[in-house]
Amino acid sequence: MSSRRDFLGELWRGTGGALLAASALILHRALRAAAPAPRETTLSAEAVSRAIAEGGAEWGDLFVTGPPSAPAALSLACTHLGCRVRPASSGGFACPCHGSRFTADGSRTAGPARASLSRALLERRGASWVARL
Amino acid sequence: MGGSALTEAPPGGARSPSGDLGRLAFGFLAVSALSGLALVPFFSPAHALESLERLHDGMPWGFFLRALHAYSSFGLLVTTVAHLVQVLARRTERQLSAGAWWRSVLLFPLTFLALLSGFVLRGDAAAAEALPVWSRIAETVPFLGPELQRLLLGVIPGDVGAISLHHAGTFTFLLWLITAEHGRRLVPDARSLVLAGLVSAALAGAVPLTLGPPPGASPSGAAQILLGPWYLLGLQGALVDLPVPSAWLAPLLLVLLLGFVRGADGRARRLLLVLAGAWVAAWVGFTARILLLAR
Amino acid sequence: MFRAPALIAALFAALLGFLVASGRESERARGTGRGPDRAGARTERCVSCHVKPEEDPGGSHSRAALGCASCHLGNPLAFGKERAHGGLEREPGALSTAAMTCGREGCHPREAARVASSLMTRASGIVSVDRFAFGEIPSPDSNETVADALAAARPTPAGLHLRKLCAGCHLGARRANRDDAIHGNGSGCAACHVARLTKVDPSRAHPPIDAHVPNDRCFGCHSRSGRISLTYEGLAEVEPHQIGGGSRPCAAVKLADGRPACRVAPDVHQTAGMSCIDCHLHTELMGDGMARTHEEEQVEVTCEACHGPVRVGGEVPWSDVKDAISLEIRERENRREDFLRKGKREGSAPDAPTRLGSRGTPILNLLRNSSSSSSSSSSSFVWTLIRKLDGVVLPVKQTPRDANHARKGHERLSCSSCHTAWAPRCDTCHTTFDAARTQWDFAAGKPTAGAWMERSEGFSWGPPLLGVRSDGRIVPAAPGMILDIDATAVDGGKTSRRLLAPMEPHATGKKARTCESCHRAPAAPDFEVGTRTGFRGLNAAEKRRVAAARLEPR
Repeated sequence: MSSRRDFLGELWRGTGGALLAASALILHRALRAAAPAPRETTLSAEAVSRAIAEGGAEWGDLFVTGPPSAPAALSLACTHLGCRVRPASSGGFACPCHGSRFTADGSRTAGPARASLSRALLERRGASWVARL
Repeated sequence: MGGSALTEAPPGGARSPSGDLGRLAFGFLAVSALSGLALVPFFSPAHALESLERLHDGMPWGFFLRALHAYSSFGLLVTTVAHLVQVLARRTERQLSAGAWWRSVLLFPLTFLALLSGFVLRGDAAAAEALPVWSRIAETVPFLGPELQRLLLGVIPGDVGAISLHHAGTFTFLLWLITAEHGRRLVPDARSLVLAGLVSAALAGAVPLTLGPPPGASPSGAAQILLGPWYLLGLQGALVDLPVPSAWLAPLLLVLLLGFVRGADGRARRLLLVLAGAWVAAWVGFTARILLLAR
Repeated sequence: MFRAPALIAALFAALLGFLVASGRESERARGTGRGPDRAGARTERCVSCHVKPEEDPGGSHSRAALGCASCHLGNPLAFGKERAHGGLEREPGALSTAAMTCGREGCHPREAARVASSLMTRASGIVSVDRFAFGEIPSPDSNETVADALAAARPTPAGLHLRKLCAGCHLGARRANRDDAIHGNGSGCAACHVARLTKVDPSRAHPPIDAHVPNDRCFGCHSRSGRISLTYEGLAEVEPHQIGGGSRPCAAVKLADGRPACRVAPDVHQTAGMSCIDCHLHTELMGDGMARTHEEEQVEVTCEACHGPVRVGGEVPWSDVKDAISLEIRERENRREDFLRKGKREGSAPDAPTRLGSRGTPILNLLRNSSSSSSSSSSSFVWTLIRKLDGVVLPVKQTPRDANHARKGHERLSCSSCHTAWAPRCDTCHTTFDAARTQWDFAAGKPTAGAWMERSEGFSWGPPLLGVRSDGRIVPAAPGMILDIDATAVDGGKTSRRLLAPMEPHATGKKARTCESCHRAPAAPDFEVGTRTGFRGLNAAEKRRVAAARLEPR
């Protein structure tokens, strides 16, 4: 009798554990599937040439710069923890969160960031440029 | 936790002075939860800053309501820490079972998460920067980093809907649940509730809260260090010098140090407490570090 | 357990806090605007306080459409004045924040970016010529901008001269950092596009913003140095001692900033009611994105572009026009059936012709129409110009193919060499540094020790000298810097310069100048006016004519 009760208790627990594991697996798969896709930003050709003429300009999360023949976009997200870097008064970029510094072409010069600002070459697509980051 | 747990006398009771601060912390939690409930109708995650601005200055006594919520939460944090210090000083940690002690230690990271999520819900510039920082830190947790990050912050970039649900739901529920188990009562006693309410109201009236860009900010927005919430300045400072995973490793270390205190005796207990003290000293040092950098 | 003293103390503290908070609450209730809080489709709490009609710039920038924060920044979501005004831009259009105000995405980013690199912002011609005049650089062609010059930690004598005298005239100078005379309603975009309050209803709190820029907004800066704004209006600046006492008759007037001037013949285009923007193209005024050093490099419009003979490729169908801004404006105006329509133009067909400036920018308000007089058999079309400010249509005379315009040996002459009636002359300028005085410093934005003092023995005016430009063209040349510089007080030594600057005087006359005024005039071979008396090879009648045309002796 008692062994039967024990068995039923084990069964309940085992089923509950399996349910929990299955739910966790489903949640895990759903969360994995929600990974951000590589982001594409479309910029009009005019905006790009304007940014280049200006010596570089912000466009959303990007900083568009480079020679007119091969324009490039720098991501303005600090490579340390993702705060938006701002143009520094001394030139280049500075991160307002932990003080990382980058040169105008995105190379890291100081602070906790280890990598340079990520850089995307712009691809010509019809009348616009596409930056993929 | 059975029904009897709710009616039993709290551990220590009148005999243990550490119970006072613990009950006061529960009082603050209750004031915070009630004032948070009062804020719910005015808050929209999709228009976080705009809805808070409307509440802050566009509603009669709205600024007071918001400040009451913030100061009662700060009160919760401060009294919880003070309660722990008292418990450790008086060696009363064994009044709790081992399981309840470990769960109670978890109240610290939970309180920080609840407060930080509240900060992010402001939606102003400083809050907007806190979001990616939190997100990147969560990502550095091995194996489950991305899942943890999406579970906490949601999968829609820049949206604070998930955080607002965690803030008002998950974190508050867990805080209340563990506090109730810890204090062996479902709700705080009337005196602690009233005292917490009065202290929060005094602070809310006397010290105004900020929101959005400070008055007199320069329109060109020169790059300055954004400090974030005051209770995380140590973390901000640590991230300037330490690798990113230290942002979750260090709290984990503190939780482990405190968790093992209950089971340790004599020298081991002293060693754990010295290490925890060193941890706190480093926190203070890093707070000074970031304040100096921001100057 | 908490005891009564704790409760009493907390009660007392809470009461105190409550009192402070109720004070803040009544302040909040007072300070919160009562008006609506929407502008366009956005929340703009600014408009709930700024409700007066005179606080509305009107037009396309009206408060109802744009609110305030689109231009003035600040915090449009805040209710209270103090927090709403955090980060406020009191001078929208100022170049340091133009990317966030006028140049924000969706508004005028292209224009704001161009202005940042335009000559009126960089003023590198002024800087390099000044340095050249002081002997600090070997040629007047440096790329240094006025911002670079103002940023120098240890200014040279020329740098100090720029700081004290010249650097107020560039678009980067904020309103508060301006000479009184140049003082408009702002800097950057606003320097041209915001009306001076004195010119509109002075009770208005907000001046209107428009694209129809009248001449008085150009006048502040362009009435100095080359003085083209004065010349165009028919005003010759003189020294106070020349009024009344001089041998030359002078219908004296006083400029807004107190400088005396004499009335002379205005430019024929001024007489026709045309304003600066009727000729000058957007690429000249706002720049074309290229950094240029000198004014003649930035200017694109030529006399020939309107009056002919048009250069090869200077007249093309609209379908060949590349300039995006002009195409946009044309499309918009075509839709509006307004401004350009007034000229009875030949439809908006893509093959309708347009005439271009030297770098391919179309002259939008120059239109070809069917000839109104059917008797004209030579051509069934005439070119007309529409005045931008009032829409009046003017015929544009085309240069005749006659002997006067095909004179052998004169191929290199610019139109203005012959058609300029007069040009201002400032033949003497003594510039000394007085360390004992104080003077406004455009780098510091306040008066600082030391002042550059300028003294002239008098101005005059007359037919311009001609010079050969580096590209071989013969153009009017003004004695731009005939000056003695005494910079000994700033370790600079003494310099004496006699520099001529190619210029367009903007004093086109009805008649072309005579042969003698170039070939026989005393001013022609040298700028030391009035010192030559003998003219070999002239007969008596010619000598009389030359003597009559002789310029005022100094």
